[in-house]
Amino acid sequence: MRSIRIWFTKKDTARYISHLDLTRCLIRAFRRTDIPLWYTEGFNPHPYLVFGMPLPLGVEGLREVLDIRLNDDDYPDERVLSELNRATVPGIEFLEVSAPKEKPLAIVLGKYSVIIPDVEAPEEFSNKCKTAVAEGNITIEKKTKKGGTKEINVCEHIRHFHSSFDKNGVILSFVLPAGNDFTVNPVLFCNKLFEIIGESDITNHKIIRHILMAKDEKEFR
Amino acid sequence: MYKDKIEKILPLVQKPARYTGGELNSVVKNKDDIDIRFAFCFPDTYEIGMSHLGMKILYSLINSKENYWCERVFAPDTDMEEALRKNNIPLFALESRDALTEFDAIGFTLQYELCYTNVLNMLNLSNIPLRSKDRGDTLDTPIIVAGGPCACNPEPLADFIDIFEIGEGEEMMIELLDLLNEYKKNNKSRKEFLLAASKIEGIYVPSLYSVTYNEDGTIKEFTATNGAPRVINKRVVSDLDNVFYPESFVVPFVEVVHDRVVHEIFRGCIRGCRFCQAGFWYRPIREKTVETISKQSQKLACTTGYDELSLCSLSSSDYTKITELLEELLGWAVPQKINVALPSLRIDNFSDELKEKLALVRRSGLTFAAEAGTQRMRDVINKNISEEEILSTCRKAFVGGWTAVKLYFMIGLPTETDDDVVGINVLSQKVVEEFYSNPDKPKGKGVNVSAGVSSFVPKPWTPFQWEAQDTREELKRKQQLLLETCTSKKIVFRFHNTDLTFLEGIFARGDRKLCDVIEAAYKNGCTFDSWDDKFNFDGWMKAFEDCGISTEFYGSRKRSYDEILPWDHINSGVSKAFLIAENEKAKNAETTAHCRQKCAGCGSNKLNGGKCDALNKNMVH
Repeated sequence: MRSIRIWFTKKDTARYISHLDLTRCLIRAFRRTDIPLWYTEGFNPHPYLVFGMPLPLGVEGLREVLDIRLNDDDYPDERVLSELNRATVPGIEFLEVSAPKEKPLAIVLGKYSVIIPDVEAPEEFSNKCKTAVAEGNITIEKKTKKGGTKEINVCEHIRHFHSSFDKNGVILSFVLPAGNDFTVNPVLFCNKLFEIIGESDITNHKIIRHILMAKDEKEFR
Repeated sequence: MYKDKIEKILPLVQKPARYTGGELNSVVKNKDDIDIRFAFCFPDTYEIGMSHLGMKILYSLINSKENYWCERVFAPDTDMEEALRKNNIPLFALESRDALTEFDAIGFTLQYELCYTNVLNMLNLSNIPLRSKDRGDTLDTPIIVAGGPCACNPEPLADFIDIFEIGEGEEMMIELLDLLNEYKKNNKSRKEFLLAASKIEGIYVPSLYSVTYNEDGTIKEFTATNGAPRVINKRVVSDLDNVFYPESFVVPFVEVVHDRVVHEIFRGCIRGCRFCQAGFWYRPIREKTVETISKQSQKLACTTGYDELSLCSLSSSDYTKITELLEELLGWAVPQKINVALPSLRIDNFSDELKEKLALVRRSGLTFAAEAGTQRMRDVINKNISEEEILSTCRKAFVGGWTAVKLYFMIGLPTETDDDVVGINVLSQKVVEEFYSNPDKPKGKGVNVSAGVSSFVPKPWTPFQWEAQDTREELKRKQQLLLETCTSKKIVFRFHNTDLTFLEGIFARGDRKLCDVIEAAYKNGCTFDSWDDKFNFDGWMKAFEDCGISTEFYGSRKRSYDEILPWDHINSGVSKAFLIAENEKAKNAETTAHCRQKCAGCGSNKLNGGKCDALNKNMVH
C-alpha cells in the first residue's frame, strides 16, 4: 500500500458541486478507472479519500488536494493522472501526483482572489473596499461546531488584502485562515464587504482559491 | 443576454448543481449539426426526475441519432423559479442553457396526476402558450408532446398537449421526430404535421377529436375528425432484448432519489391485482434474457462508476429465471464491490447464501404489501396472499433478528366494510404477537410495526375503473376508526393526505372539462401539488367552483358499464369485457389465478402479435 497526493482543479460548473457531492463524484470517477484504490478494511469497506480543505460552494479552486492510498505500489503516478483525467467531469482537472510531504492538518491558510466583472465605477468600488478593510470592522457570523453561531471580525484574520481595478472590473486578493481548527469563509466575507460598501446586489463575482498554505505562509506540499 | 443572468442567480439558490448541467455523460452537441432539438421535461424537481428510468432511456435513444439532440429540463424549485421570474430568465435546458422556445419539440413525462399544474408552469416559464390552439399554425413554436403512465387517460390535459405518446416510447419517439424533421424541412404547417403524426401507431392528437356531452355531464359522443384514427392503439415494444437500452446514464452531482444503475428486467405483471393500473396497463408480459440484462448492466456500471445495481419490474420474483439472473449478476458485481439490490421482492424462494450476497434485506426493516386487512378484502382485490404467508414471512424475519416491519395497506376499497378496516389493526396486532412469540427474541427490544395506510384511487384500465371513490369525509372516518380501534403502542399508522387522494381520483378518471380547472388552479397559484408542504387545496377548490365543475361527478360517482369513459378511444389491449368480468368476480370476492397458472384471456397480447411471455415461458413457480 502506498499513499499519494493528488492535485486538482474545481472550476466552472464544478464549483457548484458541494463537498459531500464531490466526494461521491470522485469515488465514482476512480471506479471508472483501473486505479487500484485502497478500501478500508472492516465490515463495510469504503474507499479511503482524505481531502485537504473543502471549498465553500461556488468558490473555484485552482490547486486542491486529495490523498488516497493505492493497493499496488508499482502503479505509476503518470497513469493515475491520465486515468483520472480520462474519467473526470468538466471543471475537475487532475494536475499532478506527488508524495505527501506534510499532513493535511498542516493546512492553515488559503490564498484567494475575487473577480468582480462589469463594475460601473471600478476605481471608486476598489477604493471603498480598501477603506472598509482598513477601518477594521467586517463582522460575520460563523457557525460553531456546537451548532451555535459566533461573530468574528474578518479584519482580525485577513492578511495581504489588496484591491486593484481595470476598465472592466475589480480584483481583490487576500489570504484567510483555512484550516481544520479555524476557517474564515471567503463567501461570507465578500457578501459582508459588498454590503458595507453598498453593493449588496452583486452576485456575479467569482471567488478563486489559488493555493493552500501551511504555517508561515509556505505553500502546502 | 439571459445566459449571463443564469450565472448571476446560481450562487443564490439551493443546490445549484441541479441547474448547472455538466454532469458525467450528459450530452452536448454542436447546434449547427442538429436538425431536431428535443427538450425532455420532467414536471418535478431534479432529484425526482433524475431518478426516472424512462427519461434515461429516451435521452440516450434520441442522442444516439447524430442529427437529433435531446436535453433535460426539470421543474425549478420554488427559490429558483422566483429567481428566474425576477430576472426575466426563461426556463432553460441544462445542456445548452437555451430557452425552450429554441427547441423543435418539448416532451413531458406524466408520472402522476398531481404534476399537471407543473406542466403548465413549465410552459409558462418558457413563454409558450398554455393551450395548443394558441400556438399558431407553423412549426416554429415547439410541438408539445406528453407520455408516461398518466397518458393512459390523457383527457384532462387534452387542451394543453399537441401530441400524446400512448404506451412505450422507444420506437414511436424516433418515428415522431423523423416525421417532424421531414415536415420541418418541407415547411409544412403545424396542422399538416399533427394529422400525419396521428397516423403513427400509439400517437394521439387530441385536437383532432371532438367530444359532446349528455345533460348529466357524461360523454355522449367522441368523434375523430380530419381522418384521424378512431381508436388509438397503445404502443407495445415487442422484443426487449433488441430494443434500445442506454450504455450510459447521466450521473448527477447532487444526491437524487434513485442514484444507481437501474435495470428493467421485464414489463407487465402476471398478478392481476384489481386495483393496480400498472399491472394491467403494462401488459403483456415481456422478459429480457439473463444475458442481455447482465451485459447491459455491466456496461452501465462501467460507464457510470455506480456501486449499486438495482433490478426493476412490477414484481421481480416473477421473473422466470430470477435465481439464474442473480447468480450471473453477483458473479461480476461482487468482485467489483457493486451491491445488487432488488426492491419489492418476496424473499422466501432464495437460499440463505444468495440472500446474504444481496443487499435486498437491510437490517433496518422489512416491508410487506398486504394491501388489505381481511382475507375477504384481499380476495376482492385479487391480492393472492394469505394471512399465513404474511405472518410466516414476519416470523422468519423476527427469527433473523429484525425488530421492525413495515406493512402497506389501502382503505376505501370497493365493497369495504368497517370490519375490513378494523382488520388492518387485527393483522398488524398479529404481527406484533408473532414477534413476542419468538422464544429467541432480542432481549430488551420491542417490535415496531409501521402500517402505511393509503387511500384507494380507482384508476382507468383496472377492473375498478367504474367504482365510486370514498369521499374525503369517509376516508377520514376510516382513518379515525383505525386509530380508535388500535390498542397497541407498537403499531404506528401513517396515512395519506385525503385531499391529495381526492384530487388524484378526480384527475385519474377525468375528461376534457377538467382542462379549465387545471388552468384555473394554476392561476390560483397551485404548483407542486404532490408536495405536502406546497399543496394548496383552497386554490383547487376555488378553481372547481369558479369553473362550475362538480368534484363528486369525477370522484364519488359510480359509473355504469355502458357509460362512454373518457379513455374509451384508447386501446390498451386489455378488453373491456375482461375488466367487467374481473369487476363482477371482485363483488363476489372471487380470485383469479395469476397468468402463469392460467391465462385469464385479458387480450393484451393482441397488440404484441399474440405473444405474451407469461404463456410462452415454462412455469417455474
